[in-house]
Parts: sequence; structure tokens; C-alpha cells
Amino acid sequence: MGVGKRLLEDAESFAKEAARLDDERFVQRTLEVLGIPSEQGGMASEFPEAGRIQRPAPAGPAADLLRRADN
Amino acid sequence: MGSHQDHSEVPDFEVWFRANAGELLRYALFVAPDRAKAEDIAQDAAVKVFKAWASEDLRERIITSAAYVRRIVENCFLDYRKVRSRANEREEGHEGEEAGGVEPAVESDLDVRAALLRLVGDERDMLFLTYYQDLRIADAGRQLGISGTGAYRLHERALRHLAALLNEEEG
Repeated sequence: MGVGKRLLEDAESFAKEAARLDDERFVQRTLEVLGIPSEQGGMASEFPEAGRIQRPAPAGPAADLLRRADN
Repeated sequence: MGSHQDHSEVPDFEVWFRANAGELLRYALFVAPDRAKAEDIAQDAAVKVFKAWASEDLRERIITSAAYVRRIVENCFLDYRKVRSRANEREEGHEGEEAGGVEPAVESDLDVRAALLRLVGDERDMLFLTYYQDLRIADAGRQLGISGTGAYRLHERALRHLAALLNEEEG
């Protein structure tokens, strides 16, 4: 199979997978990790009593980066 | 434009992030064909961009160069693979899984993806933009800052190099 055809087929698979990405959820989760209050609702508005101290703990490797930056 | 930058004119990170989050996530999926891992990698990249935002020079590069942001995502993926590779070494029973390998959620052509990651940045960018983002070669070239026939030459060279890598992998 030629390389162009393989690229086209892989790109088709990629498009199907990319269509299943949840951009908004990714935005909300990342803003929470960064400690940026959400302007558009999401978890921040579901828990209005949650202050910065009570925000969900950062998840994933990103949390380590932020903790190192804070120290 | 004066040398003094009014703080009120500093582009807002959240505005940039909301506008570019989709592209960040999609490129992370491209380099690491697994949705969950792509989210982690994209999030790491967003954190790096956030930390770089305070630097005027880096912020300018981030805002003006999508290719620069793609490099950040790639570096996050490579860091992710190193961590995973070390974790795999500590755990037994992963003989069937390549070091740092990810299991794609769909039938990605891992050989093609792996070979794409071995290309130099501008060649990979050209093929990503034309095949995976469906841009015309001229439009991809414009995004990469390459005009006219230069874009077509880059596209041709990228395909040639990719084919060579795939032939090399398949013996």
C-alpha cells in the first residue's frame, strides 16, 4: 500500500477518534488544575461553596509540574 | 508599537486556551493515539504554556506559531513515554507491550504514526496539516510560513522521507 493511501486511511481513523473528544470537559478540567475560575459554569458553579482550598486536587502529571512551580 | 507594554493589553491566557484547546487536544491524540492519554498529555502541554505565558517572548511565539505549540505537545508526549517506560520496567508481565507503548482506542496505523514522529518538525507538520487537518498544501505552507512552491517541495520531501522510514521499519 502506498504511503499516501496509508496516511489517508490513518487520517480517517484519526478523524473518528477525534470526533469523540470532549473539548469542553478538557477545558474545564484543565482550568481547574490551573486554579483558574471557570466563567462558563461547569464544576465551579456546581459547587459554589468550594473555595480555592477545596477545589478538586489536580490530577495527572500536570499536578507535579504545578507543585514544583509553587515550591 | 511602544516598548512599554500596558498590562491591560497582555493577551489573556484563558482566552487563548479556550480558542486553542481543541487543537491542543487533537494534536495530543495524533501523537498518542489513545483518548485518555491524549487528555493527560494535552493538559501537561497547557500547564507548560500557562507557565510560559509570563514571558513576553514565549507568549508571542505561542500566540503566533501553532508549530511551536505542537512541539510543546510532542515534548510532553516524550516525557510521558519516559515515565511510562520506567514504570513498565518496574512492573512485570508487560512483555507483549513495547516500551512506552500505548494501546490505541481505534485501529490507528501505529507504524505510520511512529514514522511520522521520526520526521523533522516541519515535514511532520506538513503531513499532519494536509492529511489529518485536511488543509490544502498551499494553506498548510502558509501556516508554516512557507510560500508557493516551497510548500509543495516540503510536502513531497515529507512523503519521500516517510516512505523511506516505513520501508526501513518493514525491512
